[in-house]
Amino acid sequence: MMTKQEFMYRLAQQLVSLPPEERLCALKFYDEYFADAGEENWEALLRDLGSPEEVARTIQEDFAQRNPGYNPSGSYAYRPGPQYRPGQGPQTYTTNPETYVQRGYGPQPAVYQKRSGCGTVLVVMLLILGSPLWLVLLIAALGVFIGLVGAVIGVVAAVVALIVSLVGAGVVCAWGGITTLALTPGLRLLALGGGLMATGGGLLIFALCVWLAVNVLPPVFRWLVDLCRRPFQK
Amino acid sequence: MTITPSAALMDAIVLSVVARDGTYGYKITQDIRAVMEISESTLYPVLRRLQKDGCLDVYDQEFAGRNRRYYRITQQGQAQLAEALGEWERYKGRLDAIFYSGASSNGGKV
Repeated sequence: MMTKQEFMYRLAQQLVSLPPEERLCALKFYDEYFADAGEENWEALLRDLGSPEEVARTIQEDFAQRNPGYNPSGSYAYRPGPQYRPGQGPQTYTTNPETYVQRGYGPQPAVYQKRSGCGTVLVVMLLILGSPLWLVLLIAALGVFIGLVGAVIGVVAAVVALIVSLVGAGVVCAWGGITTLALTPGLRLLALGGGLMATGGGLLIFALCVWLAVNVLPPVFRWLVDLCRRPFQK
Repeated sequence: MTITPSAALMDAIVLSVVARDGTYGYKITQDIRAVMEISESTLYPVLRRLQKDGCLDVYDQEFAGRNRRYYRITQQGQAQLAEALGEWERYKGRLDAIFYSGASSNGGKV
């Protein structure tokens, strides 16, 4: 069981964040309260009062209501408010200047100033943590783009090669059919026909490609450009 | 059953107790504790606030070889108490109308 002395000691400790006048007034009240209650009632009184920390909280809450700048929670550091400024109040406030400085009663407590850098630190942290992800995504996008360009070049090259080889082989074959007298007439006709067919096929594919390039590619290209622009517009 | 008085009502109760006779912290608390359940730690912040608001005055007087702080009501405190009593009468009237009038305003519907 807690004694009166212990209660008063702990209460006094809890109230160091208050201006000395407020603190002494509260301590005097409870000291008198114990005296008026009589020693025989202290046990019941201590039970009813609860912990000194709880009692201190009710005193600090009341003081905070009257002095909006006061912050009783956490570090018990005092932040100067519009209604209460240490040094400008009555003489009793400054009887113990060392306590003021130690407890952060000064005009610019450290708790208050540390906060301003918080936003910048967060942004930097985010950039550092996020940058590898962005780098990877960028490289991946570049890879996809290069791959697509390569595929297009490959397809175009294949089509050109097909046309050139069909036409070339067809012409050679047809020419061979006409000029190679050593073969039987049937075989010569077959070579001529096959060569002409191949040349015709190559030319047909070439015509198809030209038609595609003129009529189909521009709209597709425009659509792709639109697709890429869309995220950046609106 | 516990009805907890609001801060404003608590102020009025304390002002009323102090107005009857100039008295000290322990006695004020016990007088109020005789009629309602309040903790022994309830009164100090109320007394301090009323004092800071100019509703109460304090003076120290010697008692049994020590100082005892006495409280008395100021003119401003008297005015605030009168206002609170008026408000209490109106509040009580409205509640009594709900509690005790047989003809309920909702026409008997649940």
